[in-house]
Amino acid sequence: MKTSCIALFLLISARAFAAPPPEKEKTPVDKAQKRRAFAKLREILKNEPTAKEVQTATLRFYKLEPDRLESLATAARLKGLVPEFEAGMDNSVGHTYTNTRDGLYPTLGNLDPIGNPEGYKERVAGSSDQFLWRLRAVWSLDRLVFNAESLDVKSLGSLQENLVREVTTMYFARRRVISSLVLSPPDDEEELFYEQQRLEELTATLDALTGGMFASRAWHPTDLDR
Amino acid sequence: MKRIVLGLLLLPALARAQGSVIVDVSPAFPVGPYTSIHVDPADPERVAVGTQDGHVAWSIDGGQTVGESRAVVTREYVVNNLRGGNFRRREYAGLRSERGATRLFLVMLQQGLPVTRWASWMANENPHSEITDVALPPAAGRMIAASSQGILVSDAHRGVWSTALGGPRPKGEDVAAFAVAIDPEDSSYVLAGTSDGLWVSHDGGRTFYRHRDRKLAEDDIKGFYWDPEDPEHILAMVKDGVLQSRDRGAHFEVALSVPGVLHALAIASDGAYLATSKGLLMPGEGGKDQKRLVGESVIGVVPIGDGLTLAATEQALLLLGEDGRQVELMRTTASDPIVSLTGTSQLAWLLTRYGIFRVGAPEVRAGHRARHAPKVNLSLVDVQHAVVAHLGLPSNEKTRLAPPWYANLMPTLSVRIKGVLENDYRLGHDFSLPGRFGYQASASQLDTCCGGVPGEPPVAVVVLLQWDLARILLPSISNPNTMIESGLRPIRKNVLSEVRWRYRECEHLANLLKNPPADPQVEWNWRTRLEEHASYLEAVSGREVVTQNEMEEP
Repeated sequence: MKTSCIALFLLISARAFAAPPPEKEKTPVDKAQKRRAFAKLREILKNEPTAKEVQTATLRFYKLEPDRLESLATAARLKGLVPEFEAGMDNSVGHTYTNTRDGLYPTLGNLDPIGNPEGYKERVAGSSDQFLWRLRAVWSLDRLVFNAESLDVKSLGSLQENLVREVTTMYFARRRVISSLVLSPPDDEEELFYEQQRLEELTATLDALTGGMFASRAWHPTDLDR
Repeated sequence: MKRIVLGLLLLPALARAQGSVIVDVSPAFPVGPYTSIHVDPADPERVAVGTQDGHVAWSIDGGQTVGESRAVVTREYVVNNLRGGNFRRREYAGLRSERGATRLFLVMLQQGLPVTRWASWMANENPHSEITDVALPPAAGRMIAASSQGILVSDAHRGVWSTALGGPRPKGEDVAAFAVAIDPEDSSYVLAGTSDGLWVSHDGGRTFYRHRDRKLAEDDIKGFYWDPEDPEHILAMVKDGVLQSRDRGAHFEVALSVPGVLHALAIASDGAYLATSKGLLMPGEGGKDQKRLVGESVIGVVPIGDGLTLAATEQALLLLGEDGRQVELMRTTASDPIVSLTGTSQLAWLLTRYGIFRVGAPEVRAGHRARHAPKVNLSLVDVQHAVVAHLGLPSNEKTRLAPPWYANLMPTLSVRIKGVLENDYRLGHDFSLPGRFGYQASASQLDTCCGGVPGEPPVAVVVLLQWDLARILLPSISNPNTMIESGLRPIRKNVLSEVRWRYRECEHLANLLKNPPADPQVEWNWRTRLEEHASYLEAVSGREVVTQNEMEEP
């Protein structure tokens, strides 16, 4: 933005504009009060989680940390190396029995009437078992070149940025409320109550966004009286 | 001319003593982009501002301290394709729209038009959160905001907002509000200009009724001027003219028409000032209309008396003298255009997309340079590169609308391994010879393979390479990735635009803090805002963009 020098004068000289309000003479008591209020504000903010801690906790809670997204992107790229794998087995068990009666010499089968009451000449028991196994691996090599899932990972980056923006805005909105409460608290009791409620609301929201990290370390308006 | 020369000579002394008369007060407000501003005509230090993301902020002390709350919550419907297996041609599953619908969807996306996503039962649109107008009551109490979602009313403490008119409805049925105004004497009487005509409330905005004059249902009222001196007198701005009411809004008549589009109006003792897309119309000598800034799109106008007028075009704030002189007070950029200029002869307010400026009441500076001013460490280009790397923002080369052509040349590789274990035996028992199982007639145990042929190796390996010729020769026209890609490409643009704006604010604030304001609380506000921008930039870039030092003891 550029401001014209000539225009500054014209503006200042415009009669209709209010003359700049003379700065009030600050008494030593005012200054001391202000100094104490700033010291108190600094003390409060020193014990609170920093904006960076809040951002990190939020991203961790939503599982959107940059490292995690990076590893997801890498995994999507490497997926082409991992085949679709298929294993199978087929087992068949077969038994055959062949009883032979001798037509030419039928008496030969009667030698053992107890063990061979039917009078067979010969019995053959056979078994034919088969165990078949197979493995199949399929690589879609085109996925080494392009995997659509990498697009999904990229879209998570947008969520990450949105979340950072949201939590940052909220963190500093809360900080402004604290500053206002400490540096220039409302004179009206009711106004003070509602300002404190607003602070509580922002604290609770940040606590929810950070998965419960924020509230335990945050300053509460009830501490103002201590 | 004499005055100007004198001004140049006196300027350094004036600036030291009084500071600049154009003061950026945006550090005290929530971050933009800003969309609307309302200034109480009876007390121009009372101001309310609306933002694009649904925030409303207000100040009663000329922007020194600011209250804020969120009137509209943004919501975004995301298109996600359903994924089936993970194999070629089975990546996406689910209902498919007709090809024509997909094309229309893509064309609308390309043109930046709002897109309707058809759900099976109704059409939903991404709700717009932009605050188009704000109204402050004559004293403390509930505020009313107009937004693309309708009219929103706060509670008495302005913390909770509820929709009084409009709301999520099927596509085409929504009511967008453009303007709202509260009676300066009776805060229960409210007028609202919407896409569905003029609406009236008699209970402070809790309920709205259509105005009795049905003709007004066809007028999109973009703004109101409610005369603080005479609340019976109301002016309503429509696209190409002004409607006037002399009976507190019971009846409106066309007062005048303007060429082009009317952007703003202001009333002074000598007449009406009209800012239009084709220039500024203002009272001239002898009661005749005077045209200034002909052909330029004038965004706002504030007559400040003594023959002087403030006027804003999209990129410049101008001071117009009655003798035809004009002086440029401030210039902004195309990326941060002027949105509104409003106020009174005591104090004017200029709203740009990213800044709020108070014009006419100087900011008193401490008068010495700060010993520990914040410092911006990186250039904008460096920050952008860091953001792209840290967030992994997709570049247009890397995010394709479709796989590259050579992806189709890559075959599907299949490896099959198989084996057979067979066990075949026969045991014979000859009853004609003594003893059970007298001899083994036949017994064999074979480990064979692949059909049981003895002599073959026990394991067979088959390697297959498959090419889909149809994909190589006749590439597919429809591509399910297009939807995702269409959503991805603007991300880079949007994020980097946000980064550039915040970086610019950082530089601006760091520069301001070299010569800190006299009031330590204002300096604290500036530093907090700087920290907010820096903190965002640090989170998205992974680099320390601004070095901040402790504020000096007040």
